[in-house]
Amino acid sequence: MDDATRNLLNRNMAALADGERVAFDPVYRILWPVLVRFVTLLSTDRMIAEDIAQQALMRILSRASTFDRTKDALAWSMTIAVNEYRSNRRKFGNRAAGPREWALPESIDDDTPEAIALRDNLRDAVRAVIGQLRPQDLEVVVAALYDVQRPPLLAAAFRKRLQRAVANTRTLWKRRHGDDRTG
Amino acid sequence: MAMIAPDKFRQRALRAYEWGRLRRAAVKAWPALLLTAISWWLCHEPGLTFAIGGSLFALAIGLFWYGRVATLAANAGLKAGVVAFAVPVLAFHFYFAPNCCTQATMLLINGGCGLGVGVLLSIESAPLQIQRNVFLLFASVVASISGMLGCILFGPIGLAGMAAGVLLATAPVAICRHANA
Repeated sequence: MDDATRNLLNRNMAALADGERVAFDPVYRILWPVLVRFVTLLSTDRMIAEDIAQQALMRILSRASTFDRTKDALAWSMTIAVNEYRSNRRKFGNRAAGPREWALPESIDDDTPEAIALRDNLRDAVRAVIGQLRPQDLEVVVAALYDVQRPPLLAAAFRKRLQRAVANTRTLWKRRHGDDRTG
Repeated sequence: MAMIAPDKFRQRALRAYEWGRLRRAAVKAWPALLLTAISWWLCHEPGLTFAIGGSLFALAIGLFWYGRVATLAANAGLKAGVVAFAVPVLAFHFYFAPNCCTQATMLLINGGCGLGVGVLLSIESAPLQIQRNVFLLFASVVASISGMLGCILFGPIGLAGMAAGVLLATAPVAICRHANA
């Protein structure tokens, strides 16, 4: 961000803190792309970054009336964005399964007869389960697994559908093979 | 939180900003609650106290939420209001108590206090570049209502004396400024 934009952001953020509603749009327009870029750098995932950037911008604007005009608006905003990113990571980090939980009992990457048989059986089982998915679930799973064109959905809607498709796949898998997670 | 579509997000962000301002305004209006509590404890007139105190709190929140000159007016009004509240209460309790039952003394204390607060606010509004009369109007109303919480002790005469004092001090200043503008 160049100095002129930074000064403009400082002026508009101070005005917003004073209750000048006309400063809302300039602050929104300047901060949004900066926040998305910044959080993308932190999270390395554009979709998650946009989610977190939205939360961060909401937090920044809800605290705009407490902004201290002697401080730099950009640094202040980035501090809030980093906190938002950290709390998000903590929240979803706690939810994710540990690596041991999903570990297979033995390696299937080598070329022993047992490993080949295991690999073939696993592939057939996955195909059978995926074959039972509904077309709309299959579409998002394929789009997520292979780098093909995604269905015309918003990022959040796509993620939600993918989440649902994975949950359905898991249910189908459990129905056919039971819960084979080891821990 | 799932991602929100860009057109809706702007509205949500604006609403978040306004809610943030409102929360901040409620925090900044705390002296109104303090004055109401003291008035309730001193005057034993819960109905009138809560009516006046509630109006003061709502008005202060509204002014702090709106921002700009209204925030300055609310700040100045509450500061002057604390003085307007304290003077009649202290006078009644410590000094004039034996003679304060006469209507003339009550009017003198409350009217004089209102007059003093009005002069203070008029002086404070002088350095403002714009909207001096708006500032004076809102600050006077806030200070008068705060002072009235203290004047409940004196009954309707006290309330009227405080309001008249503030009006007498600020109205000529406002009219004069308007005429010169």
